[in-house]
Amino acid sequence: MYFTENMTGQEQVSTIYEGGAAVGIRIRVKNPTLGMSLSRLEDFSVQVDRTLYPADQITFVLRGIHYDFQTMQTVATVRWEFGEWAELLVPRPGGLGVVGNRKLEVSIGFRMGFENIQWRKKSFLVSAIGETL
Amino acid sequence: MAIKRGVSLYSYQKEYFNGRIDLEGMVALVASSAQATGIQLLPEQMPIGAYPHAYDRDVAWWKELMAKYGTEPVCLDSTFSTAIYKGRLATGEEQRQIIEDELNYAAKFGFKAIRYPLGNLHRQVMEESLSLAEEYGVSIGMEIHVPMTMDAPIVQKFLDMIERTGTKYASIIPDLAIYSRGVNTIAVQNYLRAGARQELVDEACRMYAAREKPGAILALAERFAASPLEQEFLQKAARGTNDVVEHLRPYVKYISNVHGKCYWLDESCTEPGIDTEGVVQLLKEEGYEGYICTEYEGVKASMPQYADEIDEIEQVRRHHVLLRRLIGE
Repeated sequence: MYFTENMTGQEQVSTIYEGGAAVGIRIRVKNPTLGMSLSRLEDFSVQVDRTLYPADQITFVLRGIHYDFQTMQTVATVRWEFGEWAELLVPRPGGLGVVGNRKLEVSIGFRMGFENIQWRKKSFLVSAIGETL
Repeated sequence: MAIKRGVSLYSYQKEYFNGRIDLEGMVALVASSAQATGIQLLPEQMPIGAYPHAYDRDVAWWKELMAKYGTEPVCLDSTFSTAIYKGRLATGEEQRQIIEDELNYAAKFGFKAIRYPLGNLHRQVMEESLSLAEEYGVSIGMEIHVPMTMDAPIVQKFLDMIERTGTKYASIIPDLAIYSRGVNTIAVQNYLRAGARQELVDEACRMYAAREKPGAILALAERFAASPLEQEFLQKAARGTNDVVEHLRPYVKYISNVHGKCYWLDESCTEPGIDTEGVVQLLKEEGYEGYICTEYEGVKASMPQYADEIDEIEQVRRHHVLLRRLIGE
């Protein structure tokens, strides 16, 4: 679907630096479905090549507020709106790693109904420039 | 009085998603491009203020907006999700609170009806909410949506409830996609463009229009040794709903709004896939004086690689040329 295809992409990926060292990657993601409370995100993950980062390793950032996945599941009053940007902060020492193409997949499950989870996945290639620790 | 025309702002969702337009921009388009007066809104997608809260400053802003463009709120759409928390459904009390919040939101912003997908809202909870609906002056409208037909048991049970209770605050909202006389035109165009064979597509379309059973359409896969792409098309072709328009006639009195679903209108402003003509004629004959709100869904129906080319604003404009022609404005 158009909105899933355009929820993120290579231009939305950047490196997180701390003290001059690359410690992770930041991926901006637009909500591709209806706006909903954070508690209705069933699950999400980021995969970089063969390394999977599940939701409990990722920090979700909305309007500057940082959430861990466990907390998000209790937040029924903060909504991530359709078309609104959020950020996924993925701990990954070295950032994207050695020079070359990395395959990224961002996957988010939106709970539309009790047993109706809509999975939105976007895979794309990103060029790593070779950040180091 | 005649049938009135409105637009669901959902129709402009690609423009909104891409940040090229905001609520005011869409309302302005309804007035200027579609030359319509009714506004249908899915606040879960495009909230006014802080949905589901209706703060006075947002209400004042919205009312000024409606006055500025000569428009009026018609129908608020809700998906009524009961899946707020992982692992459990919302309790009965939580469900009633959702409904009350939405009735309050609708009433404050001036919407006369709320659309709920028939099936999402438990009938008992809905019946218990009728007195609240009356208190807020907002009708609870159940959407008759694909794959339902008017004679489906779930629809008939709801209609029976309206008749049994005599309520004026429960209604139906037919979505015109249930009158899909042809296979979705966007799908036909996309799959042909992506490489599906013309003869397979033509045969599936012919069978669909002749109301042949889904199984027969799917069986074309074997006859044509269909590729995976073609099989995907056959799945879509078999899934449409082509209800008999006449079956709507006895229930026109219960309609609070009509969702004018459309997918693709050509330069002559006709929608080949949906029997808009038949429905408008029947509504005119029955003296319906409510709104038909365009619900353009071509972008969602399209393969992503072709969706960028779609001009939602022009498609909505064309749908209103069609509606004006059919209504006789």
